[in-house]
Amino acid sequence: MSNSKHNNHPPPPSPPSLFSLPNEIVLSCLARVPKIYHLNLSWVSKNLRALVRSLPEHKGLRSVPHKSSLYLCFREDGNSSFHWLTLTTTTTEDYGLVLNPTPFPSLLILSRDAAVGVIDGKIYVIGGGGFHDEIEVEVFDPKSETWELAGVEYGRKALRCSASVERKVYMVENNEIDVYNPREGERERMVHMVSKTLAEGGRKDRLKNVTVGCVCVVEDVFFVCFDWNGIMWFDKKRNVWRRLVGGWEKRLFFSVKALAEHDGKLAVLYLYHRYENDSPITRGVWCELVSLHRAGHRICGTVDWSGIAGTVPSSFGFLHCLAVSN
Amino acid sequence: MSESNKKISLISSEGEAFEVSEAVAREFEIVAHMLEDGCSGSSIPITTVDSNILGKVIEYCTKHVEVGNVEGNSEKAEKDLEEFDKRFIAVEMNTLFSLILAANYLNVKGLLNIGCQKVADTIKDMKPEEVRSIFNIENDYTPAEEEVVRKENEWAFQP
Repeated sequence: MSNSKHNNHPPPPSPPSLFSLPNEIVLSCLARVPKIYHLNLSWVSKNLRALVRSLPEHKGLRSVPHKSSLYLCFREDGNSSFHWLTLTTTTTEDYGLVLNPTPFPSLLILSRDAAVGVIDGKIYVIGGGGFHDEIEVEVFDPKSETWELAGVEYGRKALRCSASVERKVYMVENNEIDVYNPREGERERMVHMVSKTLAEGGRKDRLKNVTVGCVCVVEDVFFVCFDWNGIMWFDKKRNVWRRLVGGWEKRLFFSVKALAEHDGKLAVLYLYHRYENDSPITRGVWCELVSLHRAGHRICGTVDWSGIAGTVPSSFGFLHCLAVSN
Repeated sequence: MSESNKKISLISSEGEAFEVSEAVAREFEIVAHMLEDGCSGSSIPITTVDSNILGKVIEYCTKHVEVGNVEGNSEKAEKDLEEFDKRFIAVEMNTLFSLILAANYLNVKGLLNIGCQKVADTIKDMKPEEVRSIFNIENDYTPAEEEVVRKENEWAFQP
């Protein structure tokens, strides 16, 4: 057939099957797919589902270990003492807050309104500067313990809610996003995006009166908790906000203090007062650990565990939540 | 120093010879082991890899040896290498699979890594039906089983 003079265009050969690769290699490929996509992959075929399910047994192949710790920082009213607490697994199922016995070094940039991101092991502090729309970007190299001015960019100031995604710093305030990419030329590193659009509701559904409560990144997805609007994620490809699905739509989020990544899951931390005889005695830290599954343009969050992670004196005010990967 | 100038011929499955420096040949761990075991011959048959793929693997190793030898400005060199890897691995699926198999056989760890990563990056953002067609995977779910999956995961299948 292919030799026939009349058939110059033989049908393209079918692509090679994934399963033509040795099993070890297929597993090695699958282990590099972030966990958030695993459920979606398991719908391809039963064979693939079996392989995906067998992945935890192949932890040695994982390129990114997901072991991480959460540190919460509180400041005590009336004095300036800081208290760091660690969220740890107390049993295999339960989590609890443990007062961290090691004092942390005081943060260098605590008093400054600036966005902070970590790219290639260096800390980028984006903020400050003289003129109204010029902002300075400073870089701290923890290896040499030196500060360096990376350059001056045009942009909005005081974008405190920031996180690093795919080696860029995302900063968000009032549903506008600035993205800083250190690999571009000076004055071109900052890109400003306005996305008031909510993908699900069509053009008319827009985010209104939004105040960003807190942000975090889980497996390269940028999550934001907007006061009153709830938890959303930013679809980078299409420049739209999308709601986290799975029953989160109808909830109120005014007491959410922090979002963070913990063991590849989304940790949502709430702080509330506990009263006794009408006066606040302690503050409770309520924690939800949410496993995430992504299929196409949707991310579904399922609460795996929720409970009181710990209590702090009522004089403690919440400052920061820091996720540290080992 | 004279050793690094030594040339070695790698023979593809079609019998074509590729002359490379010993440093490049040593990037193939399988060849490095042969040399260490005293295999002194200057031509080594790579019988399971064809000329097209062997040429590509040599291109990859040559670039990595070259960059490894450059002194100073390591940040820029790393960036260049990253760009090179990205371009190098942007190939169609047939070639990608051949490169992965060759890297696995020849034990070129860097290439095996970027190959597997490329498969992972391709697979992750796709719908199940797209994964089936691109990676030629048969859907072995029965209609009834598929219905169960859809019901359990309604959130994902809503229009």
